[in-house]
Amino acid sequence: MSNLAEIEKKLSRMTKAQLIKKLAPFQQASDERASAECNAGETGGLFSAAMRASLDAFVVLEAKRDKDGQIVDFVVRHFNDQMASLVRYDLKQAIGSSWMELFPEDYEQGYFDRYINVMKSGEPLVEEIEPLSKRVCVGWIYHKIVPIKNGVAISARDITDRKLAEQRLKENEQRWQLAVEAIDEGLWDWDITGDNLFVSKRWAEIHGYAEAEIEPHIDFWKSLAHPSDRRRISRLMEEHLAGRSSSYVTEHRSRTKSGRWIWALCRGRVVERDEAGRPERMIGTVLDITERKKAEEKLQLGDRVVESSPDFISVVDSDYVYQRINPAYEKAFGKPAGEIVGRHVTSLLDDEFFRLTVKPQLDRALAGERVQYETCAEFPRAGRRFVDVTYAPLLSKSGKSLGVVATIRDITEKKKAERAVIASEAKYRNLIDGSIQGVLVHSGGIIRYANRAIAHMHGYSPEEMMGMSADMLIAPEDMDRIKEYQRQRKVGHFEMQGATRDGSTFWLFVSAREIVWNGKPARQITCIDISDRKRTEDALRRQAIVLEQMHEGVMVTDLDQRIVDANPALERFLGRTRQEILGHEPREYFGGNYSPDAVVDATTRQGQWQDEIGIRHKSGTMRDMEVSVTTLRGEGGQLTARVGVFRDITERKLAENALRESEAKFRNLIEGSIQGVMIHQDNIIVYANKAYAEIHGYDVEEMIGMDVDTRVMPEDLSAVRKYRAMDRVSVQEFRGLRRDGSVVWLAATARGIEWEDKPARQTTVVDVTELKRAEQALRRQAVVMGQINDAVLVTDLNRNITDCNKAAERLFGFSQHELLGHSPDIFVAVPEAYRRRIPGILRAVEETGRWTGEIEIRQKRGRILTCEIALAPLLDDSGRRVATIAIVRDITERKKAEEAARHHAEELSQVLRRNTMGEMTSALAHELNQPLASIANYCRGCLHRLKRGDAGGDDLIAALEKASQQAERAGAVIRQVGDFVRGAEPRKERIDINDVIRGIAPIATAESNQNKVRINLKLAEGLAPVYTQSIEIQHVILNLLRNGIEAVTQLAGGPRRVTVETCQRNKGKVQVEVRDNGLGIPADIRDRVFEPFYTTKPLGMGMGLAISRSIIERNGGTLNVTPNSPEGTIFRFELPVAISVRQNSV
Amino acid sequence: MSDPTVYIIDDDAAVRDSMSWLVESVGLKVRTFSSAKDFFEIFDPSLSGCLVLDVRMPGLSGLDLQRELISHGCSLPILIITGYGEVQGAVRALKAGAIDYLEKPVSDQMLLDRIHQCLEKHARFRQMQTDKVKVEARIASLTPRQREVMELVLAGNSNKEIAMQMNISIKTVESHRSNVMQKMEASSIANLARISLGVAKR
Repeated sequence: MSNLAEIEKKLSRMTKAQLIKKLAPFQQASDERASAECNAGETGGLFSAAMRASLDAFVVLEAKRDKDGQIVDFVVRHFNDQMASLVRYDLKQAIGSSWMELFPEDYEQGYFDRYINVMKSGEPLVEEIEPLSKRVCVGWIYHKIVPIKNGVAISARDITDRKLAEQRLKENEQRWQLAVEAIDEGLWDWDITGDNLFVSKRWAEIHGYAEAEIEPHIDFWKSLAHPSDRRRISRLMEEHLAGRSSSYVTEHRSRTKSGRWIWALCRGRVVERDEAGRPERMIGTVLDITERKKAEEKLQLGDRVVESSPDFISVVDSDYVYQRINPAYEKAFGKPAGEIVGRHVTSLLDDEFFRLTVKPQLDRALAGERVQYETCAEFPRAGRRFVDVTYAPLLSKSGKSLGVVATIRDITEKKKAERAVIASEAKYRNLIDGSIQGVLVHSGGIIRYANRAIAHMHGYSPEEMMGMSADMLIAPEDMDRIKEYQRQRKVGHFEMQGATRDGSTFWLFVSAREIVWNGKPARQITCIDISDRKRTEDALRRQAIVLEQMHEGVMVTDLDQRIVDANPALERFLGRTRQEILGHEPREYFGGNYSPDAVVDATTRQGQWQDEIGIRHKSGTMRDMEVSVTTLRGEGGQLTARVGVFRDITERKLAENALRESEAKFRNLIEGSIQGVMIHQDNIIVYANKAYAEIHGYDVEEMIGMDVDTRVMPEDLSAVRKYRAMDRVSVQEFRGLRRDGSVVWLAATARGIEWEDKPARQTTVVDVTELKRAEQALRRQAVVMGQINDAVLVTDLNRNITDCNKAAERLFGFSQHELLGHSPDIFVAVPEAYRRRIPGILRAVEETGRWTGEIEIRQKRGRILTCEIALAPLLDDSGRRVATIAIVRDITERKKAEEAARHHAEELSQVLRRNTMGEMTSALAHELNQPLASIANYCRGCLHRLKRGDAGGDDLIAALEKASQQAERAGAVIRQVGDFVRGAEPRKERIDINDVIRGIAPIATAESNQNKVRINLKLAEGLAPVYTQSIEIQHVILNLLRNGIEAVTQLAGGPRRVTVETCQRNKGKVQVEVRDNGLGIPADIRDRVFEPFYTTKPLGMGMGLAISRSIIERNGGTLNVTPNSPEGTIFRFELPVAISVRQNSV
Repeated sequence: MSDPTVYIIDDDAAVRDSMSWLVESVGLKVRTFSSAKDFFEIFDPSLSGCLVLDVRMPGLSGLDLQRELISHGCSLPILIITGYGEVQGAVRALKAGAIDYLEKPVSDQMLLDRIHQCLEKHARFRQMQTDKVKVEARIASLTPRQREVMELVLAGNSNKEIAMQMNISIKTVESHRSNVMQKMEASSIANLARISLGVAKR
């Protein structure tokens, strides 16, 4: 077949025309020879030899005719070896055989007709045929039929090979055509002589034209070239055409039909020249290299990027030698490129670092892999930096490794930031993921994040929840409400019911806020499953804390009525520790009316039992308790324990009792008082007690609304008004008018007060009419006596009585007879004393003509009378005194009346002082009513709720707390009043003031401990005792201590100190100081603190300091206030030392 | 109109809080104020419910507040709570139109009963007001002629008498009359009388 291949190869270089041309001479020779031979006829041996020697097959056929001379068959006359092998027929048998029998198929096909035609026309026939006969062993035959006499001579040749080659060639030609069309290069063929440019379809395409649009001239092509390229192209073309270059190659820009510029690679060569060497024809190709150019540009750009890149870029060959580095690399290693390129990598890098880190990676890259890793490297300038290293393999076209491009980027800062982010994210994520609180973020209702806790609550996994609708987590009952919250973007806390995967619901305490999540608004939900919280255990645990803090005692008993738990308050009530009472039965500590069976019965049936019982303190004292017992039930509803809550109502009971008593007392006091008490606003009576009404002859109701001035005698009105304007507490007497118009003498005190928040005056009056009447009677009598009933005596110059009147007899009890002739000495009570006064009296009488004085006389019966005596001289006509007239008036009664009046006024003022109580009453009633009303409201509110069954435990506890606070408030009021009232019954004794302080300090300490206040006692030794009432002084000291504690409790920080110090002021006085370091009292109100009802405390009555001062003053001491240094207040009081001691000590 | 609310005004925080606790316990809505001034800040005549006042208060006393409210056109019934010895103030309050007074300490049942009475009273009052407005609107819709006919009908005149008085035909009277009945939405003359009386009375 190599033979065939060779032919093929040769043929392939020939065109068909050339082929035919080449084969023609040979064919001609063969034809001529055959014809000559045939024509020569049977020339014997020569012809046979020729036939045998011929390479072609040869046969001579003789026509066989029928009787009509028509040819019906051909008979073989000559037949050579080639023919024999061609038709596979024995040479010996062939001669004389029928051609028709030999090739029946050809006969049938009418093939023989061409022999007959050749014979008739005398023209030889040459043709190439594909024989039909099976006998012919080859595919194609080239044969020539030549006419001879009565037959034909046929030479045939096997041309199968040639035919096949031709066929191949044809196919090849087609293939080439296709290839030309398919290749990227455009072809051109320039007939230089005729200026005829032929271009391929591809060439046209490259330039954006259709084949038909190309103008077939070189100028057309030239016009497409870029102006700046034209000169160069022309030069190169000329050089080549002139034969100075072996080929013409340019890269130039060429314009396409659309005006776009392309880069074209144009190659060409002159293929034909004339004898003179002038170019005749030039062919070549054009390739669009725009993309390559672009890539090249890119490459250049890339080069520039590399040069200016901040990354450290190097090229290292397979021997680890630097081939190239960029400026950043130079800078990083502090060496110029000249000192790096060409050297081994280890000239810059630490050996070990190279060996362990760089080399393994470099080797991978050298093996063709792209490698990226992060490492930490030491740089001469920057020190230790984190770097990101990329090794890109540099491969030759054949895939051989040339080296590695290493890009090193400093990522230290990024790394730091990343680490910080990772650390913080990890921290928070861990926190949130691991939180027992559910945390969820959703935006647009789609869950973006959910931690494990919330997933667990809802029965999902965190992964499942991602992308789920947040609505799936809401119980249907709460759907509308929560959706509304979402719509409003409500933030804050709320409770809701959540839904689990299986559709069950549970309670959640949720905190929602609006956040930004991955740049989008979202809601962050934090929640706690409070269903769990509501479980008994947790509730109990929570309650335990409350129980510890409660004022109420709490006792838990098991079903055997044994105490299993108790809180500190109960410990205090019982005076026993928890350990002491655990396991005991409550009845051991309860008073008589406690029946365990009743409790068990009530709690089992109704779940609750309530009563007031007494419990026994360890010391044996009983305390009143309000007890409420409820049951604790397990999850199955079975009774597990009973809980008793004990409220100490001892104080409340006491307060209630005291209140009841004191209120009654005050009410009686004021209502039943013989003093009239009246309050008026703008002269209109708004209150009057019974006494006041009776004094004026009215009923109380009638008096209300009356104008006070109508009850004053018009003559006294101006005086009364003047007094009213003075606003001073002193006694005024004036005449009032009764209903019937009669006059009543009144002694009144008045003071300004607040009544219904408006200024009012309270007037206290006493009916002094009787007194006045007596006084007036006396005065009238005196006037009469002065004229009629005064004793008149006349004495002579010897002091002998020479005359006297009846009145004198009555006055002195002596008869006229007994008096006359005697000296006045007989009735003067102390004659000696009187006589000593006589010279002076006489002198006065002589000088002024009158002397008046008082004298005590002794009546005959011995009664001593005080008399007013007036002496006047009785002159004779010459003006000489001849006698003395004495007018003596008994003033004993008047004196007594005066005394009585003075005494009464004293009594009155005392009563008035006591009347502070009266003033207190209305305030007190208000002060007490407020807490009592509140207590009642709280209790009733609780009852209503309990009855309705909508009571929350916490609410009730809060309400009851508040109620008990109000009870304490009432108690505080009562205590103050109680102290004040007790103060009214003094039982004085000699006491050591230090003992008083030591006795009261623990009470104050109990209060101060709650407020973290320290109380210091600085008590001087050997103080003299004071004579006073211990309880009163205790009250004062406790009051001052409490004020001090309150003052320092307001301090934000620092030590809170209250100090009590005693000292012997001097021999006569003991001094007590209560100092605090609180905020102090502003100077402008310091003077007011002792005023009644003046208070700076929210719950104060303003009586404490007023009462304290009155107590101290009643005991002969003083109480005052001065500022402490540097901060705070000092209250200081002094008390006189007990007299007997003072005498002893003198 | 807002929900019926019990407005409690008391200067004493404990009393205020406890009373609110009590009143809420029977399911009523409560708002509390420490002074009359505070209440005036939210007051508007459309409020419904009732007021519970302490006669003894700082700033503006209960009685002053009562006067002030009436002058502002407040129709809220007022329940006065008095302390001991303040009966006189209560009497004046009652004279000024308070619905009732209670002396401290107040029985809860009494208080709640009175509050309910107040709320009912106010609700009735509101209803009557609404009715009155409706009837007035109906009367306003009558023509002068129709009104004349209505007045004569209410005065007890027969159609014939009305026709004579107004100098129109009986048929015209009948027509006016039926229009009046229709416009006044009255089913009978007695009904008409009652409806129009409701307006006249107040």
